[in-house]
Amino acid sequence: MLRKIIQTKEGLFSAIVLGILVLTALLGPILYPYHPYEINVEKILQAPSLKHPLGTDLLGRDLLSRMIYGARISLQVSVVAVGISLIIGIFLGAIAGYLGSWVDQTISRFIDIMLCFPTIFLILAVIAYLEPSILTIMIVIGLTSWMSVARLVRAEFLSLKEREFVLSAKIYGASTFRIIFKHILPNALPPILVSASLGMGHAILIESALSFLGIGVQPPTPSWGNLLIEGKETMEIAWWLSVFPGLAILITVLAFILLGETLQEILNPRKR
Amino acid sequence: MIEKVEPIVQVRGVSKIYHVRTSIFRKIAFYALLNVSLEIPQGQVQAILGESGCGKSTLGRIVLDIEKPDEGEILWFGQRVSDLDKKTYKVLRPKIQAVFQDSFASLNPRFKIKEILMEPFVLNYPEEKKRTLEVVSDYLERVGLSKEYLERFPHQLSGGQRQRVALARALITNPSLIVLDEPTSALDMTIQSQILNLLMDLKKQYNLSYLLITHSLPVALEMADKITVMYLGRAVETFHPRLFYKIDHHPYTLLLFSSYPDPFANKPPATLYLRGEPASPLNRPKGCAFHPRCPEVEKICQEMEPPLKEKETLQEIACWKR
Repeated sequence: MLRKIIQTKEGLFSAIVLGILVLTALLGPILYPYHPYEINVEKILQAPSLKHPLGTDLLGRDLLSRMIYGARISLQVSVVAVGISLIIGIFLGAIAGYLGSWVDQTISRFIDIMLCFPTIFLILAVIAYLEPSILTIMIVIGLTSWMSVARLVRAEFLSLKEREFVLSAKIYGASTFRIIFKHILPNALPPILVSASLGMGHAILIESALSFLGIGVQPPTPSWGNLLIEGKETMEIAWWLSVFPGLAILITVLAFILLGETLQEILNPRKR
Repeated sequence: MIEKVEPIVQVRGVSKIYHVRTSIFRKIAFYALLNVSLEIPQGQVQAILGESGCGKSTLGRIVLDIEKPDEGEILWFGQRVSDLDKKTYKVLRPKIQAVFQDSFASLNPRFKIKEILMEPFVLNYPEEKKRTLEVVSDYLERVGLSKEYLERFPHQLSGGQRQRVALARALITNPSLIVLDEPTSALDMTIQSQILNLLMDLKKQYNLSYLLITHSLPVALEMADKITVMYLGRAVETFHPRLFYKIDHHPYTLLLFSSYPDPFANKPPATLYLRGEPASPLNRPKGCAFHPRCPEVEKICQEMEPPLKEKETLQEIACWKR
């Protein structure tokens, strides 16, 4: 599948970007030239140079190191958040779509209710009661972003359960469990993967937004959103502090979206 | 002592009601099937003939126990399906198989042909698991496809080939009855006759019964041992195809017959019977449901529904005029 992905321009771009991102996040401590928390008052607000490729911040910390560390945080948040939303979304969507009747009605109305709240305010409300930490951020983003997955899965199940190959499986005696997980779910997977990929980008954006508002990942832990807000203070004299984290968010989200689109193309079995 | 042989499937007075919501406040109930009865003995082909929307596919789905009847009952091998305990149901279930019209939708697009055929066999004959691949390629050859198709995906096959795979999948559980829901309607004429011939060969070979659901009178005449004509959810006539030209028919059967152009006739087909649209089951005409289209309509037809009663040998008909 990877080969298929990198055969398109968009796929190649997203594969390279996400590959680098995952590698830096994994290799973090080996890669960064300075410790991300290391304060050096003699090197405050230095412009990008050979010694500090992306410059230094108000406390003289190396921006590159902090961004590498931040990549780890951002990726971690998005993976866990999307994981949670996928688990909830697939489960609720599958039973709503497959069982229909009042189960479907109940779940669908619940989804509608959840969608009525603007996500960011819903998150703000939840965070108000909880200690802001990376863990709560991940869980809260996951718990507030499963609705689109659930809707998607429900719609797929609704149409797939009436398809003749599912009826045939029923007729030759396949169990409900087998029908749901072997016959329907794999066929519903392409749109789920696409939405998961888009969801990753979305999760990074929400995390950045929350950190920007000061209720996300707490300083001094650097996440990209955190770095962005720190950079905001000194934007006029040190452009690099807001430009580089901003670019990182932009490129990563773009890569996830393009990956989603590429997946949509190649997961269509008729095009294989 | 002669043991009484039970028909494979009996349909007794089955009705099916569907509900359509026309607005938030109005819900209309209509009969997709109304008091239909038939039985299919071993080795026989029962055809259901009718226009789209007459309930013939619903009948097929009820026989398959994909849908439950609202009234009446279905018997498999003489036993009420609704009364079967789990164990018996599991044994009888695979004995009634189906081939559907849409060959693409009836094969899982993510499975190879091999996997499509292996699953029903492994599920029903777990003790013979080791032979699976051998059995699967054997069945594939019996429906006229070579072993090389095992590794293909459904979208790499033609419509006729996919229909053969669907047939092989139906056969692999060793069924007694196969419900054929418009099995050839989506295929080219030449492929159609190939598939129909294959069906007849397999029927002889395995002593199969078919419930053939079709809108094509020629196909029904060719294949069936008994034909039931349905109109708006009711059986209006049953007859034996061999007697088709010898007996008088229900006006609706005549309508179906007259709507087939004869390619060898030197005059255009008679338009005598061609009038009107099929009525919607949502507002079923009072009396005989066919009366708005019937050329022989009389007062009684508009007021009372005619019962299905025996007329000639092997013929039942629901018409006040016959």
